[in-house]
Amino acid sequence: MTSSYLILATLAMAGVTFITRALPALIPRKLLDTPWLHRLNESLPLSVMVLLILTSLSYKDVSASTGLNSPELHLLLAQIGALISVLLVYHLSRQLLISMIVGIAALNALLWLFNGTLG
Amino acid sequence: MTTDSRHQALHKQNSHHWAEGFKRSLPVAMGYLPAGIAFGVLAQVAGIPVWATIMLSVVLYAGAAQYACLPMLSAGLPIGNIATNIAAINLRHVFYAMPLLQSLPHNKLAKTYCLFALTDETFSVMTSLPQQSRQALMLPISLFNQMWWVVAGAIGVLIGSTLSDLIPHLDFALVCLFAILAYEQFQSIKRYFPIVIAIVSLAIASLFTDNWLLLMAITICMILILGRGFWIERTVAGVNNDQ
Repeated sequence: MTSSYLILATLAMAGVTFITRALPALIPRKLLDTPWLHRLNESLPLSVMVLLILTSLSYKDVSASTGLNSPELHLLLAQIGALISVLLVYHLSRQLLISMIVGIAALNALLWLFNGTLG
Repeated sequence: MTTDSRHQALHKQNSHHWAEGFKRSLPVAMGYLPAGIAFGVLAQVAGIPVWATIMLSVVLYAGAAQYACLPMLSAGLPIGNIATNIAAINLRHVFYAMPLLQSLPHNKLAKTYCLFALTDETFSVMTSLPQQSRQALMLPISLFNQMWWVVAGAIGVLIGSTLSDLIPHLDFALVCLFAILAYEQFQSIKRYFPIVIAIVSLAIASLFTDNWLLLMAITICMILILGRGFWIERTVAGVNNDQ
């Protein structure tokens, strides 16, 4: 992660973001008002968020041959359990920060529990 | 109309209502402060330098995209790859300026800034205002909102390294945040198929690539979403033809 890499990456991201925000002021409205763009706009963000969650989970080290007591499986199960508690707390409270704190606490608690009872 | 009153009217049209704009930015601050602090902390945990973290909040200024870019920057993904992923995440912004085109300030620089700073929150506040008061408030609201975001990020940076020393697995907060953003997305569209499509796309993409996993999976998602749309349209047209 060199400085020039960070600067160029930031500028590139800022560039594409500015283009998406300024586009209606730059091109005729009817070019944007197409059914396929509306369809992507409606569904793609949820797909992308799900992809970001899935690619962040530690599932790559877990396979069918992984033992029940392996730390890799414990981590994946703890992550899944933590995410479920985040969604539950957020569903009930709508508090972003509290839900994130609960998630971290749940992850650590589950890992501690797995190591204590199974490990 | 005298020259003087015309001048006054012109002045009124071009002036910005700073105090009112500040007041309107306060509800956004309530959301931006915790989210921005979280960004600062997570950037620290991801090993992004302080200056680059602040630069992201100033130059990119996009909530979900700023969170999403952290693991990509840490992994050192190719820049074109990152930019394409960010474009997909920010695609929704393509529609935000449409109802606000008449409300943009006349000054070129101010207009460009307002377009640059048109986030989900600024869009929500602006579109909730009556049409006639929008133009005078757009620049102040945009500026104050970004100010809250940058300040919050700086606070997060300051406490980030201490927090990550104290709390194990703090980096998982980012995944928690993605889950909350996905929940919000789901609440706004109430549909399951984008989730299914994402899982299928990731499974397919995993067969082919490792470095370009996210980009390939997003591309497959787009193809599947569009394919599904055309299929539904054809089915509906077919039913209509049968009748």
